[in-house]
Amino acid sequence: MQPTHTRLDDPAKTDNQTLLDVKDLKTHFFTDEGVVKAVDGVNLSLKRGETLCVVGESGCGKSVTARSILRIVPSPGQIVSGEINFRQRDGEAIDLARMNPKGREIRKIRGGEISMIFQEPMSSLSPVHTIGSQIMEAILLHLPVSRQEARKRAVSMLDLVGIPRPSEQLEAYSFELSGGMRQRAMIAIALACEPQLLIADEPTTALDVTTQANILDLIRDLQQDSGMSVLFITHDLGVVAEIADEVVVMYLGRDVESGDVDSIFHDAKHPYTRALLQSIPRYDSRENRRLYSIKGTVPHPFARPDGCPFHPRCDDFIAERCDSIDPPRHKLSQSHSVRCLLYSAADEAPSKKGALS
Amino acid sequence: MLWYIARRIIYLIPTLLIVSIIAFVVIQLPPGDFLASLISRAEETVDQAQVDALRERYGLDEPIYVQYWKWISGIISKGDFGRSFEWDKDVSDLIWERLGLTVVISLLTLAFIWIVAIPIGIYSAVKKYTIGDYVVTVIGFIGLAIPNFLLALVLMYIAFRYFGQSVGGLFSPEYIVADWSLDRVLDLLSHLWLPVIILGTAGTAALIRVMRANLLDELSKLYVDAARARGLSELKLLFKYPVRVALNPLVSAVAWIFPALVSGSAITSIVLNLQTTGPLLYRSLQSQDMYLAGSLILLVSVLTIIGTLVSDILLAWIDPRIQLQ
Amino acid sequence: MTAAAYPPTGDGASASARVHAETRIVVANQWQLIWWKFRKHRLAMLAGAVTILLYVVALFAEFVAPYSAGTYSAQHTFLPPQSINLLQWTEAGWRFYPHVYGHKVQIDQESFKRTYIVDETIIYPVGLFVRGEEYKLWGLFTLDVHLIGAAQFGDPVHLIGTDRLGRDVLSRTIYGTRVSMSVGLVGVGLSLLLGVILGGISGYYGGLIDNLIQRAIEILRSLPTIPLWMGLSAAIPLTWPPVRVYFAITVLLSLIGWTTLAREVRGRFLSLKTEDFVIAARLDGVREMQIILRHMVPSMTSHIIASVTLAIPGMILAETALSFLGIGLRPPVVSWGVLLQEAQNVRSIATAPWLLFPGLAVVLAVLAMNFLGDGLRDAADPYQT
Repeated sequence: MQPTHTRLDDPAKTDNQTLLDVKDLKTHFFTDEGVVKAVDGVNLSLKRGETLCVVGESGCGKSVTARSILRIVPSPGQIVSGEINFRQRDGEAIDLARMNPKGREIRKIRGGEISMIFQEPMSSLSPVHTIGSQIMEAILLHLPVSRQEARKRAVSMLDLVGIPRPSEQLEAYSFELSGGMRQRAMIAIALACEPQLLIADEPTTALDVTTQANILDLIRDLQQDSGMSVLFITHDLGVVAEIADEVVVMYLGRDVESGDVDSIFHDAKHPYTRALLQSIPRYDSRENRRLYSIKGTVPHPFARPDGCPFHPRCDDFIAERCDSIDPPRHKLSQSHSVRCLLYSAADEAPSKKGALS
Repeated sequence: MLWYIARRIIYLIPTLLIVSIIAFVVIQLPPGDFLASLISRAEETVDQAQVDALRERYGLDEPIYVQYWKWISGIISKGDFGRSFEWDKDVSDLIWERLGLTVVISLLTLAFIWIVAIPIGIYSAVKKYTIGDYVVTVIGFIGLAIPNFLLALVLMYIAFRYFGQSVGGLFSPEYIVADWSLDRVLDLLSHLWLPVIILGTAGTAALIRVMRANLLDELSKLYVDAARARGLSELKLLFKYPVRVALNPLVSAVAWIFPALVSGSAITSIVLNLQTTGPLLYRSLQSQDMYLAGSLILLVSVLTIIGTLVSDILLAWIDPRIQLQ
Repeated sequence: MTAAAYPPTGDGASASARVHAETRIVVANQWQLIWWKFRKHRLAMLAGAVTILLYVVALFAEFVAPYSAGTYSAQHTFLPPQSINLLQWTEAGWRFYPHVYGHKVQIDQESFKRTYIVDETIIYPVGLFVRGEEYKLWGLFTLDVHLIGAAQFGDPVHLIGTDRLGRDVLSRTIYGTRVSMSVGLVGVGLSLLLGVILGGISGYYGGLIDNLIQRAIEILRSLPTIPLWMGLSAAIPLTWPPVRVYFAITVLLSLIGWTTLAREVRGRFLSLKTEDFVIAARLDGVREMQIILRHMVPSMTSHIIASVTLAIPGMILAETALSFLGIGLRPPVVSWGVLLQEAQNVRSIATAPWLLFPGLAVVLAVLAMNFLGDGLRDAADPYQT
């Protein structure tokens, strides 16, 4: 597979402000037991300098989407179809989905243009190498500098992410640092080559609440200074409210609703999004009632429901429609779209009373 | 690091004590004292004065702990391991060269095992569930299932039957009793490959499996993905991170492989007629030459204990996590 | 579970099928899950079958073997294996008539060495369930039926040949199965006893006792086992009866073999001790003994079974090695190691390579139990994928 280097001049396709544009991405896992469609038609788009949050329950394909972008999906996973258009620093747009995942070109992107930090800072650092050797490795891979300069840069990166006594900590091993410090070190490695895009895969989930807030602040500060974009993956709506510009809600490998943070939090359309929002505990709630919970459980990966994947758990389920018609993406406004038959097919079937209230 | 080594060495003392007691028990096991068997074996009447001298030297009329003390203090202070009655020599004259050869064979085999097992283990893990992996796995299992001595017999038979060669021994006839010289060393090396392969088969099979399992564990770790996400090439990635981490358990495996090699070489050496400690121990046990047998068991045990110690120190040196624990 | 179990249709029938399939997973108990997982491991299943077969052979050795272990024939020393021909040519065409050919003996005038030349004119029919020597199965039933052998009692049929006394190698190997396979079982049984008690104490109480036991295990593991075994078994008096020697050897083997099992048990105890369900039981005021027996032991049984299976081959190999050297079991006891003693040097193997046949049995048994143990270990934790 050869990557195509085409200038996408068509502004409708990607304007210059769009850094990443994922179209109908499908990543499937071909296991002995059958095909797991972990990502099955995801669309998302991220502008320069903005933060896009991808939200969803565990197992909805958030992480696989993130890994697909960097082409580090573990086997037996494969990108089956779709586009991952990314605008490089030189202005050239390329489709990452068509690159050889072991090739030289994607390796230049990884760490250089797009970096990633992971959920567990403990296991994402090598147990037998020093922090310094791992930062310097990233720097030497992508920047034309000497070992001396790389070392200097590594120290300044550690300083930048707020690790005390950076030149000493360069020689530290991951097990000698606390959880928060490890994640800072990971961020230092990720940002060492000033990437355009930082993919953060639940970077705060394994940390305690105070550390969580510190790391979020750090990412936000660094983003403001460098102007990079952030693709933030989380299941925590609180985090989303705090940092997101745009939000994509995923369910069973698909984007069910996407929009700017205001429309998602104040004008959610998809029953799943609304259910998610309702299940957040609120301390200011006056009603003394049980916290809402979505009925049923996420289906078995081999047992994807037909039609809308959410229909077996949906309160607004329309029989013989939701279970057979795959809802298309319906644009509600410039920045808000939803995949739900309640909206897109309003002319064909009257929406249920109360569904829109 | 120094503190770690010091602690390991202190741990060694009780181990050595227990080993020496076991060896002493072996000496004491046959019914009657060894002087009785010496006298019964001697062709002519033994000089009573000489018997009395020996009785005095080993404290045979005294309680058992005194006997133990006389024996062990003789070893520690004077290197006196007692006397072999079958050979009519001091034990220390008989054992050192053989012990040296045991060490040489064991170390060479260890090197052989590592050189063969690591690349194959890596291949097998990276190419998981391919034909190559299955072939390696099956051969590995068979290698584990064949007893050393059986493999030795089969290889000797093949060499004898199809090449008309007698492959036993460590030296060609003209070098067996010769003094050490370059020629003798070369002759030794030309005979060593067979015992090394025979001894190394089971260990190689075991280490391939260990390496494969470790590497498979490591390959699925997040730090591998993290390094890949940094833009490292697959090959560099493989050797710098997961292989490096997966090698640690291999170093610690020396702790159990080395005793197994020394132990296994006992039988293989008997079959192949190698001049190591094994056949000497075997003969001494058959002829109830107990001081020789006990000394051999003691020294071979000390040898494996030192091997274990070295592997522990090596592991602490390459794995920064160990010293912290 | 396959995708086929969930036809991707949206109708109600499949939805209920789906619910049904899910409930089935929920109610399957631990042993069922282990069995399901083990079943997927083809090689381990095969190995399990071979292992069972070997123990069945051991149990019915008298019936399976064509001859008794001691039957000898001075006229047929070092007789080479006779291959079975299934078909025979007659005027009427080929017919099914399993048989072996007889031999003519040539004696070299100078060396008095016997050589056998296959003589195709002498035909000895071979059959299943034939009448042969009388034997007492388990010392209870007097029978004379053998699974395989010469169809006419008295014909010299030796499928794997004979040894220097003209004894049937196949029969002796079959009898050897009994001793060799049971040495493994008894040895592991003793090891397990020691291992569970000491490992359990070590893992459950921790502290000083744990430290002491762990040190002891470390010391034992750093010793070269075979020289030690040699030293200890050489001390078994020659005058002891075979049964006592047999037990002395198994005790020796397990004295060193228990350490692996003890480590396994201790490790399990340590990890289980902090499991929520054990802590919950303790907080509910369940007695210690009850916690161990009702809660901890059941959840480690599968792991222990796997470790035990993996420990047996080591015992078999050790017994074989010791007996081979002549310091383990001794004739008239028949074990694979004792039989291999006949093949101790190149000269005798060169005359009669078939004397290595018991070695094949050793390899087969060890291989089968290693595969089986491996499969069991993988299946032991059915909740892990």
